[in-house]
Amino acid sequence: MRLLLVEDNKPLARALRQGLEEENFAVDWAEDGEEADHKVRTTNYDAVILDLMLPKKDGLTLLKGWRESNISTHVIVLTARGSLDDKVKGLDSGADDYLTKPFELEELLARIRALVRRKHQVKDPILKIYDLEIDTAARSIKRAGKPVHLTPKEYALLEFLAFNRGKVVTRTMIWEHLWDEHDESVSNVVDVYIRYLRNKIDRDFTPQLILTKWGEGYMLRGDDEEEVST
Amino acid sequence: MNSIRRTLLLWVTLLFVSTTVAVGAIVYDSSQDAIKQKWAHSINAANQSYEEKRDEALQEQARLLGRTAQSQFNPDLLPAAHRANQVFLMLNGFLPNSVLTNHYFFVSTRLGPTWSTRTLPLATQLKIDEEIIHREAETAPHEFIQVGGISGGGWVSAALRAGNFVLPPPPIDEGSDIFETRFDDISLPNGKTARRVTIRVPLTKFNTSTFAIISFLGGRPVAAPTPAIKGAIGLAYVIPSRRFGGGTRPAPVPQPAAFDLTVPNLTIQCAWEESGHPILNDLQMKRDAQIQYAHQQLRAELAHLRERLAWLAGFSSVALILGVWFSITVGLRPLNRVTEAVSQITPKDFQLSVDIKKLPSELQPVVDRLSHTLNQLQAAFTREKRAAADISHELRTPLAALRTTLEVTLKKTRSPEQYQEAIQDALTIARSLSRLVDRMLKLAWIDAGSEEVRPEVVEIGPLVQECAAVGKPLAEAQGIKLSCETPNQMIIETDPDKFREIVMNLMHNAIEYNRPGGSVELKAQKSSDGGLILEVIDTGIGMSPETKEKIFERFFRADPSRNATGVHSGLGLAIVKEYVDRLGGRLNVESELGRGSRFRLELPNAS
Repeated sequence: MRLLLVEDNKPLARALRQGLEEENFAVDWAEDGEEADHKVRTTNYDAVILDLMLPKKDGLTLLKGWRESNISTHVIVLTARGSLDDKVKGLDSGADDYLTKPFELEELLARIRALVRRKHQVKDPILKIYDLEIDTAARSIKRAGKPVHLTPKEYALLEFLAFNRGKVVTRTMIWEHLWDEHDESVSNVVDVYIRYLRNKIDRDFTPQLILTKWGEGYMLRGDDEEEVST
Repeated sequence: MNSIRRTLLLWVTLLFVSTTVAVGAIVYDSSQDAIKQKWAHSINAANQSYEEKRDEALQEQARLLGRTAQSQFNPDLLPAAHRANQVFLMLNGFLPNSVLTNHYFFVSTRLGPTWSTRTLPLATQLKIDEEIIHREAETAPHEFIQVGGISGGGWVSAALRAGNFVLPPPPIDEGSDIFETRFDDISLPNGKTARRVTIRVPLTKFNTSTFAIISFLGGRPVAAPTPAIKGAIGLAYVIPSRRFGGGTRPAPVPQPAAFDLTVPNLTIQCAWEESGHPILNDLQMKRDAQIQYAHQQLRAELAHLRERLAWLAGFSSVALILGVWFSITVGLRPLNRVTEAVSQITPKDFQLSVDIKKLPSELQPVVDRLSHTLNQLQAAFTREKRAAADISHELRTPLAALRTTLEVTLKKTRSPEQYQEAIQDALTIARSLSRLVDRMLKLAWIDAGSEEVRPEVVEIGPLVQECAAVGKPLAEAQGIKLSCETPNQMIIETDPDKFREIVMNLMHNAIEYNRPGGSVELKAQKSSDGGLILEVIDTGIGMSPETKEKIFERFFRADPSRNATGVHSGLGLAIVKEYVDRLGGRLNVESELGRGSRFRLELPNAS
């Protein structure tokens, strides 16, 4: 999941970024309104964490601008203004969620996950693909009832494939959603992680869930998918 | 509770009641006069009517008497006397009741050389039957009648005879017109008053020729034997009253002797007692009844007048109170509109929803002032709200940073270096937080008025130099040249702590809003009036006019991104402004975008 953090307070931004990255979110940071506007308009983020009091361009103006330009990226507003009036104003301007500073890091994470699920129109936190169960709240998986241990990056990759189940996701899409702006681009890193993932969930089980679409990318098997040999 | 409505009503009612009472009193008084006049007129009329009737009755009796007396007079004896060659002498008045009742002539006839003398009754005796006069027996004792000469004599009624007195001479002259009727009031010897009528009636008229009449009156010859004397009926009937006075009364002044020989006449006097005479009593009772009726009428009319006035006052009072109530309600309607408009004011909407042009001119200044105050209040309210939002932002953001830093750090086991870094971050945040809290408290103190000014003698040079020394490393770290110029031996009296705070804040701003290679200049000098002029001049980014207007507002930052250092919480210049005000100084700012700013502080010498 790739997020944009818009926050002008440097110590807060630094701590938040670290916290989010340790939860395997790919995090980009914008320090002021203009930078945030530019990044949102050029990158497809899964969610934006937006502070309202920003230098150069304030958060509410940004939000309104995005909604007017039909940018439907999910936005969690993060602000020190805690009055009901401010919340209403924030939500009316097109925010998907609202969090008042100071906040619990866990709450922010839970809300981001909920937003991502909402983005993929999934309500149940547990995703089921054949005998594979992905608990998006606990960030754990089971195959055929047996728990399988995944590294955060592997989990993020599986979750991304699961949210786009039945659809082909290209390597670029995977790259863009799982790695942030600072990661060096390594050409086969996506393939490497796909291989790790297959070893853990597909090697000892049938059917094979991770399918390769030659020349396009990868896909998680849909319910009516014909088996295609890898 | 004090109510305009009630006060107005009270005053109008009081005014009305006093006016009504005054007007009522005047109306009552004049109406009373008119009614009383009418009453007096009625009483007069009653009296007059009584008197007329009384006098009429009297006159009637007197005329009756006159006719009776006339008819009883017999002059037959006169021709007999005339035929003889005689000399007539008359001694008049030696007999009681001699006027016309018994007139005797002494007739002397010459018989040769001698005169024979004899007496002859000449006049008829006047005999009047009392019953003719008195209608009722009981009226007799109250009627005093005298027929005869002007001063009495002749026939008198039983009451006079019984009382043995005569009536006082009537107010009628000897020579006055015959047929004359005179009324007067007299006092009777019995102490009562009586009404009297006096009339004179002529006796029969006839001719005489040549004989002389010598009359003696009181012994004096008063004769005028002339042929011109005609119609004498014998004669002199002027009887001095003293002869007949009877001693019961003082003798009246003697009447001048007068003879009316042309037409002898008879004087008739009738006097009725005012009290006691049945006819008069009757008339008096009628009169009294009329007067009584007039009295009742008067009382009734006055009562009616009072009643009408009371009703009038009552009705007009009710009408007035209702009218005034209505007028006040109508008059107060604009006030109600204002009240309603005021009651609709909420902290969210400070607008007074009332059209000031439609209000009465008395209310306009109030509403004007109110609107003005409300606008100021709204501005203050908005400022406060923004300040509260700013404060919460300024406090919550570092708190969120602190918390997130600690939470992230605790999420898993970290290396000692990572812990050290996290703690270092937390400490930095805590320091900036405490600086922020310090400044906010300082401003709160200033606002609460508990920040006192403690003037001391301060040497300006070292103090400003000391500030510059603190700022120098900071300036040099950003590639800025800081210079300081102070006068020697300059001493003024001011609060050194506040002055230092002002200098430090201005200097920090000048360094912060500068750019590499720029310069900051601190320049202190004496002013002409013994005070101090301190200038802080920078070659920094400068300010637009809009920014310049806002720099003294709390939490305002010319560049909000520059908050990381914690020095610029947006409160520095707000504190500077408050301190300058406290010290009685002035702070001027000149600035040009991209060229830099010049802050000029003028401080008076407190001593």
